[in-house]
Amino acid sequence: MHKSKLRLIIPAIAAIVAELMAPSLMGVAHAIPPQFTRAVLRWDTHTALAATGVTTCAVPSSTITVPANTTYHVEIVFPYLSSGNDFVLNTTAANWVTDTNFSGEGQINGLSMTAWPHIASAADSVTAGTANTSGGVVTFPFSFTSGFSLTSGTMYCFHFTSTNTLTNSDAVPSGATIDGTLRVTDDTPTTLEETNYSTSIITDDTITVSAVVPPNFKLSLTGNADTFGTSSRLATNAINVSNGINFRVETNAKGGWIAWVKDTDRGAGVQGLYSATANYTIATGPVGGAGTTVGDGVAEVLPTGGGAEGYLLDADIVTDAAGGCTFPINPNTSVTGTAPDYDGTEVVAGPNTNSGGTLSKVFQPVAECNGTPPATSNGDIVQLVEKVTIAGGTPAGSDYTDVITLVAAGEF
Amino acid sequence: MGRWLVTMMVPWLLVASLPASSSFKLNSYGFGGGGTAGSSSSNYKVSGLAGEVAGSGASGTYKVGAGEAYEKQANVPTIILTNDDRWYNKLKLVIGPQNNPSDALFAVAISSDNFATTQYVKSDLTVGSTLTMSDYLTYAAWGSATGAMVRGLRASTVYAVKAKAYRGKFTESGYGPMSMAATVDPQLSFDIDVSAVDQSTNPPYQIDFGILAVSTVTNSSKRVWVSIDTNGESGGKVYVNGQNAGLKSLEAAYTIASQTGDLSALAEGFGAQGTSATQTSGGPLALVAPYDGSGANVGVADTVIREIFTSANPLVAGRGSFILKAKTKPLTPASADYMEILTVIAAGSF
Repeated sequence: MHKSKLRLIIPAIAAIVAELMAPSLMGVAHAIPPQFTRAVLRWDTHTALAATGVTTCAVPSSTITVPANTTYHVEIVFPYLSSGNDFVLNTTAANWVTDTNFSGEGQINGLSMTAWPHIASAADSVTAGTANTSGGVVTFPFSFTSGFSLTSGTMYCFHFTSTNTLTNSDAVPSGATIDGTLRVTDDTPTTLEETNYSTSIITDDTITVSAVVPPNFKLSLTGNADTFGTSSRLATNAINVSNGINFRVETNAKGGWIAWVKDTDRGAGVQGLYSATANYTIATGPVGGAGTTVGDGVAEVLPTGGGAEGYLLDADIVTDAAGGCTFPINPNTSVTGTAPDYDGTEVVAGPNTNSGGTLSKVFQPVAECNGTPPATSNGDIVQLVEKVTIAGGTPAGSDYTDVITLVAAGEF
Repeated sequence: MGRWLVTMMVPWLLVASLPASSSFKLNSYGFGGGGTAGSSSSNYKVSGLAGEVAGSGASGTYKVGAGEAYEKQANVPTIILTNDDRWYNKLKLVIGPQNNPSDALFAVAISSDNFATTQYVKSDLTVGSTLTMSDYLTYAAWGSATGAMVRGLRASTVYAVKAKAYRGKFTESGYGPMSMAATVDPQLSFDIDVSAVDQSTNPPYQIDFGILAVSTVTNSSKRVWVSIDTNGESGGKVYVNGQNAGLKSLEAAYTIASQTGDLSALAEGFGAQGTSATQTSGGPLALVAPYDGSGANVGVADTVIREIFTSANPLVAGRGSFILKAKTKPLTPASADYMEILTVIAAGSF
């Protein structure tokens, strides 16, 4: 036999023994549970000492199968602060109400937030931590009458309310970190998967934003001169109605707007159409008829056949702009209109040519648009029309005029 | 001339058959130091060294072996364990092959109690209780000079590793020297500031638009600055939401609704626009649509918790900022009490 082969054989016998003995089970293992592929715990607020809920999400690294009628748990171990005011857990488990409403929220790490299947409506166990020494623990059960699985690679989430559950600690000192543990246990309970997480508590995580929207108000007229017909000749046997002037209001006043009119003060308490050449005033007001009091809330009327002097102002809604304020309902007619004194729509049916309101040398409300805020106006339009009747003895004159002043204001 | 077969009898060993050829057989031999230098009969002579001097010496930190058995063992490998980047659940090991052939196989033992107990790095680079042949990997499979990540480790724990090698049967070495490294805790650091420029500020955090000129896109005079730092394996995110879903006036009973869009085209609105996203290392930190627009484009800040900044990787000193924009229309009710309360939160992905 060759020399070298002889040498190998003998130690080989010992080696064979060694090979059979190794590798062997060695050591006592402190098994580390498998870790979630991903764990995300998002606080509702990081503000120190504030009440908060938490959205808890986990991606199992392996599919977890829950047998029928078997309760597994999600266990959250909360962080603790090494000094100062620590996290506080309300130990009433029923307070820790859960929800799985993530409507509108996007994905996390490319994974949709899937509702944790069959998570209980509330926690079933709360263990308060020891201040500045250990974190509190809350467990949320999940089970169902038939078996189900948490599939690996899917992100499962649930949220618990901030009401009477968790209160944040003091702000974490600069340079320090805090951490907790998220785990899923079976019914024995054995930890199936767990991951450590960290969060942050700061002095304040809110920003107060303020702004001022300045007021604006626009009043415009379609003209400044109103005439009767094309010739301005007043007939004695009819109600003479002017062509009309419109005014338009646009405002962001939250309470709407109001407009007033007043007549030129001609002294001696007489307002109306005045002729300097005739030195005569066709006084504002009705000729007989119902209502002779300014501002009594009732429009007056003129004789439809003329023959007697009268001079009224009629205000009618042309446009009640959509949205915002609305013209009120006239209490006398239950019809939406301008100020009742000048609202000429309510006295007679059909085309109304004989009613209006008496002008005053003192501002009287002629129209108002209001409502529950925001009662803004996007272009309400009111038409002002003068109505005159004359008698056969009304002094002739080609210079009968009147100046009516219109003002308006937003109700800010 | 005659020839005859020499037959020798050798005591039967438990595990080995008598060494023999078709013509010759050893009838006796022994183990142990000293062996027989030669053996002969009248016609044949065998010279050889059966058994050889063997032994070893060891101290607490060194071991020396002598003899052919030791000569044939694989070279004892070295190993280095490191935490290169604030890892909380993994560490990197790099094996030093010590001139073992490329087909040599290495096994790694790991312990969190200085080998009072021992576990092993498995072939999938997790930690297990047993060592099987499949866990012996080549140097290349261990990542060569780049190394490999051992995963599934506990946070804030000191780990020790050591390696051994073998190539073929009967050549396994002992474990080489230990290397130690520690995992850290998972970490998330978050803070906000409100300022026109990038600087630290203290709460209360307030942004006042002042008077909003009608039909004009107005920028807030200050920005919201966000700091985020995390060693989360999948990074972290920053979210924003608004309590009133816009600028709300109690007096006017009206809300300038927050919405996503181009305020220059919209009649009215309020929203946020990202203005910067940086980091010292890692990340990168990035803005998330629709907060990554330009011009008058804004993203909604309503009651839904919406992601505004994101990092898919661990992040060191991430810093982002966003501005607020608002626009009113002529009919936006006038009031001095328009207000919104924004909440900015963060979460690490571990």
